Amino acid sequence: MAITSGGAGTKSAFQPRIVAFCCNWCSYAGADLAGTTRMSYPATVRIIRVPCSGRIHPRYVLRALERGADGVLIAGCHPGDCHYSTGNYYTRRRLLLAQRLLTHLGFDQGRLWIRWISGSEGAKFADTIRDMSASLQVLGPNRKGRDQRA
Amino acid sequence: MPDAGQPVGYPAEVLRDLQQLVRDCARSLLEQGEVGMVIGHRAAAPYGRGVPAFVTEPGEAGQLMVGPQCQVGIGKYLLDQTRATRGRVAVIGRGCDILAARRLIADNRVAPDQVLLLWVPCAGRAVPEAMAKGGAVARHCLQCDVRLPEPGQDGIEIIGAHLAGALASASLVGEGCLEATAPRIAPAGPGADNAGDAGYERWSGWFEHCLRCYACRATCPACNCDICVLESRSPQWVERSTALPQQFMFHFIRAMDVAGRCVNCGECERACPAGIPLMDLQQLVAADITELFGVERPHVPGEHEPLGIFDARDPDPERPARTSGGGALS
Amino acid sequence: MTTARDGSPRRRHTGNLSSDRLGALARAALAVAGPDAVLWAPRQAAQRWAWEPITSPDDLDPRTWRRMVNTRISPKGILLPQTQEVFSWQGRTPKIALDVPPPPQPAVILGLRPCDAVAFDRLDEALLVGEWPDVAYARARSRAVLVTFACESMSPECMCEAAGLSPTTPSGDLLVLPAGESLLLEALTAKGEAVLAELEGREPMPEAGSLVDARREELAGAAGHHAPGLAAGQDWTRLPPADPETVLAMFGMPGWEELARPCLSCGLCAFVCPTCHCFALTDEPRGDTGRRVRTWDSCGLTDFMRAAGGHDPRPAKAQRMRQRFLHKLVYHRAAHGSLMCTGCGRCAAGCPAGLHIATAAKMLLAAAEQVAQDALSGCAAPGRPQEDPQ
Repeated sequence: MAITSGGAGTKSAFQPRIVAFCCNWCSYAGADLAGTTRMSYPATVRIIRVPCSGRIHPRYVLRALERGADGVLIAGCHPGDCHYSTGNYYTRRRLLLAQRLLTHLGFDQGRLWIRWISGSEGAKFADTIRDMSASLQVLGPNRKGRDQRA
Repeated sequence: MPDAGQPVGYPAEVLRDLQQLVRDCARSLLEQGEVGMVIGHRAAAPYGRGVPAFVTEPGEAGQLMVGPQCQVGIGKYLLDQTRATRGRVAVIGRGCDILAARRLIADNRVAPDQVLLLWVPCAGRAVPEAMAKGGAVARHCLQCDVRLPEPGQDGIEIIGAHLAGALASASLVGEGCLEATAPRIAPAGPGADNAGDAGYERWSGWFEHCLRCYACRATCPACNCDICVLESRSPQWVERSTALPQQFMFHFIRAMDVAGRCVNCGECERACPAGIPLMDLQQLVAADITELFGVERPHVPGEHEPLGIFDARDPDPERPARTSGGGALS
Repeated sequence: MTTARDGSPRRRHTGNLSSDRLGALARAALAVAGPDAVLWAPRQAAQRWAWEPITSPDDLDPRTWRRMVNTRISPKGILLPQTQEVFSWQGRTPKIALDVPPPPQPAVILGLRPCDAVAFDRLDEALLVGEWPDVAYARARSRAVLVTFACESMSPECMCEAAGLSPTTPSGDLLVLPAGESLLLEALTAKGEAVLAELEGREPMPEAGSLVDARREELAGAAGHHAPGLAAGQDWTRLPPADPETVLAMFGMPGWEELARPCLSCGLCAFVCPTCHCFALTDEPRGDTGRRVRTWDSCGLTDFMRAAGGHDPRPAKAQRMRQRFLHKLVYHRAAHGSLMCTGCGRCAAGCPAGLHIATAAKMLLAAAEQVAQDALSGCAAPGRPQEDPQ
C-alpha cells in the first residue's frame, strides 16, 4: 500500500502536532516571551527544553515522528550567539545533514524545520509555529516511520 | 570448475611478486620483534577465498595471500587485537583496510604507536557469487580511489610500490569474466529514486527484509563504540521489533552516527544477508558532506571529522540553499 | 508398504507430475492447508534467493527455480517469525486487560531443501517437547504444509552429508524429486497424502514408486559433483554427545581462542540458521497500552548473557563461539538425540569474517578421537572424572 504525503487535510479535522526542541537560553525564552505577551499560535505544539540545540541528536527527530509528531522544530540561538559559544554551529551541520538523510530515505520534506530564535524574538517563535502548522496542514499527517500505536 | 586461483584484473606475475613481498615483510617484522602480530589474509575453502589471518610466528608468514579473493575487510581487527597482543600489531592491507585502521586511530580507539600499517596496491575484490565462474570485480571496487597507495602518509608504509603501475593499468574486469555484479541501484541524487513517496516505498521494501542481525555494524570500522546506542535499553531508542518504524530508526541512527566517518569500504553491504544496498545510503550522505561542507574526500579520515568541526560560513537553513536539490530549507 | 516418518506402516503414495504443473501442486497444497493459507516459495532478486509470499501460484517458474541451490536466509522465519507478539495489554493496574494476537495464516512452504525441512523437525524437538511447548510455534507448525524439493545441485558450503543427511532425505510432508520434465512426488505424512489426493482429482498423475527410487539413487550420486567444501569427509554423527569426558575435552580444547579470532560477534550465523531459536522478550509500552514481543537473539552477540547487574559469564567471543558450536553439534544431541545442525551451509556462506562450522567440527572430531584413543590405549587423561559428574 503506498504511503502518500499529499492531500490537504481539511482544516477543521487535522491539527498538525508539532514537537519543538528549544534551547534554554534563547529559543525557549523566546517561546516564553510569546506567551507572556499573549501572542497566539496553534496550541498543538509540545516544547521540549534542552540546554543547547547542540544537544539534539537527529534520532530525537525521528523518534518524534515515530511517536506521532507531524513536524519537528529545532530552535536554537542565532549562530554566533550560542550561550555555549559553539553549540549551535554543530547543530547546524548535523541537522542540515539529518534533513538530507531524511529526504534520502523518502521522508517528506517540510517535516523538519530548523530556526534560530533569540530570547527577544517572541514574534518569530509564534510566526514559526503558525507557519509550520499551516505548511503541515497542506502536507497532511505524517505516516512515514509512524508507529501505528502511538 | 574454473581455477579459483585465476586472478581477476591482476596479471599473474604481479600477484605472485606482491604476495611474496607481503610474506617476506611479515616474516621480517616478526623475526625482528618489530610487531607481535601481523593481520592479513590467508586462503580458505571454498574457492581459496581470503579470510583474516592473524600471524604471530615468523614461520606462519607463508600463509599470507593477496588478491581479489580477499573478501574480508581486516582493518577493524586492530580494535580487539591491539588489546590482546603484546607489542605492536601490523596490518598488511589494501586501501579499504588502511582507511579502516586510520578510522580507528582517528577515533582514538587504538593508539598510533600500537599499530603499523602497510599498504599494498589493489585491483579490486572479486564478487563471491561470481568467483565460481571466473570472477568479476565488485561494483563497489570500480568506484574506489584508494586502490593505489598514496605516498607520504605518516605512519603508513607501502609494499609493492613498484608494482602499483602494473596494477593501475590492469583492467579491473578480466576478459571472459562476468560483468561486475548484479546491477545495484546507482546512488541517486536528490529528487531521483530515493526521494519522496517512491523513495520511501523503496527503502521500506529493503528494510522489511532487515533481520537486525547487526552484521553491518559488526563489520563497520566506524562502528567501534564499546556500548552501542542501538542496543541501549534505557533509554531504548530502537526497539528490538522489526516493525518498519524501528527498521528506519536503526538505519537512520547508524547512518547519522557514521556520517562523515564512513571510509567507503563497503563491508556493511557485503555482509548484509538481506542484500540491502547500505552503501547507497552512505554514499548519499558522503556526497552531501562534500556539497554542504566542502569536504573533498570524506571517506579519508582527516585530522577532524566533518561533524566534529564547523565553519562560521556553513550553509544555513535560514538562508536560501546554494543548490536546487536537497532539503536544505524546509 | 513403507514406513511413515512417525514409524507407522503406510501404503506408499507417489505420483508423477509434469513439471509445468508446478502451479497445480501449489494449489493442491494450499487447498489442504486451508482457505486462508499463504504460499511461500523462493524468489530471486538481484542474484539472491529469498523466501517470499507468492500471491499467484502460476507465477512459479520451475526452470528458474531449479537453478537455485538454496536461499540465503532460512525459511525458519515463516513459522518462527523474527518479531512475534506474545500478548498486548490495555489499561493500567488493577484494571488491566490482556489480549493475544490472532493465529497466523497457515503456511504452505514450497521448495524447501531437505536440510531446511529436517531443520523444522529439529525445531520441533527444541520447542514442542516437554511441559512447556511453544504455543505460537506449535500453532504455526501444526497448520503448515511442507513441500520438500530434493537437490539436483549443491554448493561447496553444503554440508548435509556431514550432518548425516543427503540431498534426498525424506522430510517435510511431501517430497518432490525433479527429474527432467517431471516432478516425482512421494507423500511422507497424512498431509502429504491429502495433497496428492487433491492433485489426483485434477491432474493426470500416474503412480511413480520405482521412478522415485531410481531418481533418488541418481541424485545421491550427483551430490559429489561440486567443489569440495571444508566439511568434505567429515561425519558429525561420530561426535559422542553423551560421554562426559569427551564433552569436557571438547570444551577445554585450546583452539577456541584462535578459532574465534576473526569473529565479529554479530548475529548473522544464528539469524540465517534454520534451527537457531533463541529469543529475547521486550515490552513496548505506549501510554496505557502496549505489547510484549519475542524477537530473535543470538548467543554470539556480546550482550546475550549479560544479566541485570552487569555480570556476564561469556564476555569473551571465544566462549560464545564455543557455546554456539557445542550446542549445535553436541548439547542438543545429548538432550534430544539429533544434531542441531543440518548442514545447510548458510552460516559459512554468510559469515562476514569467513568463519566456517566445519573448522570447528574438525577440531571437535580430533578431540573426540583423541579421547577415544586414550581410552583404548589405557592412558588416563589427568583429572579424568571417575564417575559421571552430577
